[in-house]
Amino acid sequence: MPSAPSRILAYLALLLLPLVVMVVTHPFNPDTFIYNLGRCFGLLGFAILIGQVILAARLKWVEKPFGLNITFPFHRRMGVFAALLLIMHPLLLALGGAGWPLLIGLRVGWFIWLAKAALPLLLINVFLSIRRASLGIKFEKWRQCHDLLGPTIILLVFLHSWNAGADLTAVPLQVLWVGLLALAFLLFGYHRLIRPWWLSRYPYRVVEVRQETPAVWTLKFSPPPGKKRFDFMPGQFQFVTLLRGRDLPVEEHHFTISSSPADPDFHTSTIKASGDFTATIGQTRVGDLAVVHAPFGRFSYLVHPDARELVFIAGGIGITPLMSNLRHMRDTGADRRVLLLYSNKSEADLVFKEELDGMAGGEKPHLQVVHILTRPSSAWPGETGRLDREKLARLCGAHLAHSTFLLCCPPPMTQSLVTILNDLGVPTSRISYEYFSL
Amino acid sequence: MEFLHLNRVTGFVIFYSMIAVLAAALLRTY
Repeated sequence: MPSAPSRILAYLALLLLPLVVMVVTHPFNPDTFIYNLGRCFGLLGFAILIGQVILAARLKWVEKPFGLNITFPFHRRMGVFAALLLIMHPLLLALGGAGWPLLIGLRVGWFIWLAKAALPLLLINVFLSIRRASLGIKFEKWRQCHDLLGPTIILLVFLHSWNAGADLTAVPLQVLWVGLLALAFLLFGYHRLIRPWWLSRYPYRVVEVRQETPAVWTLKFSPPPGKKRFDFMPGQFQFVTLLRGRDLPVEEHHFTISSSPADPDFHTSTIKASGDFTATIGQTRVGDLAVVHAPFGRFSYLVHPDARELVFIAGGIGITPLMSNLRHMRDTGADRRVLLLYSNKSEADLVFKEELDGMAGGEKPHLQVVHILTRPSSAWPGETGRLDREKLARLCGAHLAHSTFLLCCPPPMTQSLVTILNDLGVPTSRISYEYFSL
Repeated sequence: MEFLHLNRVTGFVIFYSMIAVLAAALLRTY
């Protein structure tokens, strides 16, 4: 198991290396403290921008101990932090002796103008990234924009610092700077060009399209001829680009894997038709090709080897990673006790109902399923309404004291459930959750 | 300001990098 602290320390070392090199190469000079602070902010800001590429490149070595649903939000927050540092950078320099013409003057060097161009681009990039959903920008459009802005900003900041910074006259820092720029561009090229091209040479094939409910479809994929399917843990997800022709959109999306890794020859994703792209999922046909990049994530009972008793809570299509976990338990005869709370709107939305009912009452795993419907028909005999505090306390009972909770629900529901579970005495360390979207 | 919400790893990195920035600026100056 790769260790998380080693990754965090490596990341910190990358960020702080320019500062160490700067101090070592120029230990003494007569500049003011504020001015030097401004310089340091600039150096750290650039190092974080390089780190952003490393965080976003979906490298297994980086992602594995955390899961992409940790590293992507971390990438977003470090983007905000870098923007704050790089805003402070010229302010501190001006305050520390460079004078206000640096900020407002027109007669400044061309490399200062590069920075003046880079900073608004960075702010636009950060703003679009944290407000994409509320601005209603489509993921694909945002990503194209991000792919353009990110490298442009890094290049502008590099050229600016190379020419403006007195620190960059020292050879060790010059070597480091070129090395960091090369690393960023190599990783970017690998992530956006070389790996997609390589994966597209060996596409998977859709071998079955099954309609589960009026809005939910299961796609079954088989690996390319002569190749073995990638190995994965139950509950992980994949990035898929469907190549269907017929004027259907070619976009990369992430989908949870709903099958068990115990099936060696195929894997499935069960997808709800909701957004612009997934609305076309039912038009997928047997024989269509799919570029697959997988596996990712850590939403798996295998990550909790000591948890003999588990509570799974699924909201709607959030059942898919939990289904993968349950199928794997069934296929391997895992000796676990599982309480599944499965919330849906109506009977028509229940995915995998027959299979779940068939697994319930078995011994390995010992599964108990409770369906909860928010808009049931009058004939529904089971639980109704939202999964609130009273229901959680009553249905979970003794599980609250010792079981491990795995939640996969829409984000507002997840947040509310985590709060209630904390209230009921379940520590966050016993709760694992995965949002629908990254 | 929901977007400024920091998880533990982010807080760790920001905290120690800021300490390092201050230390580097001090070392550089004096």
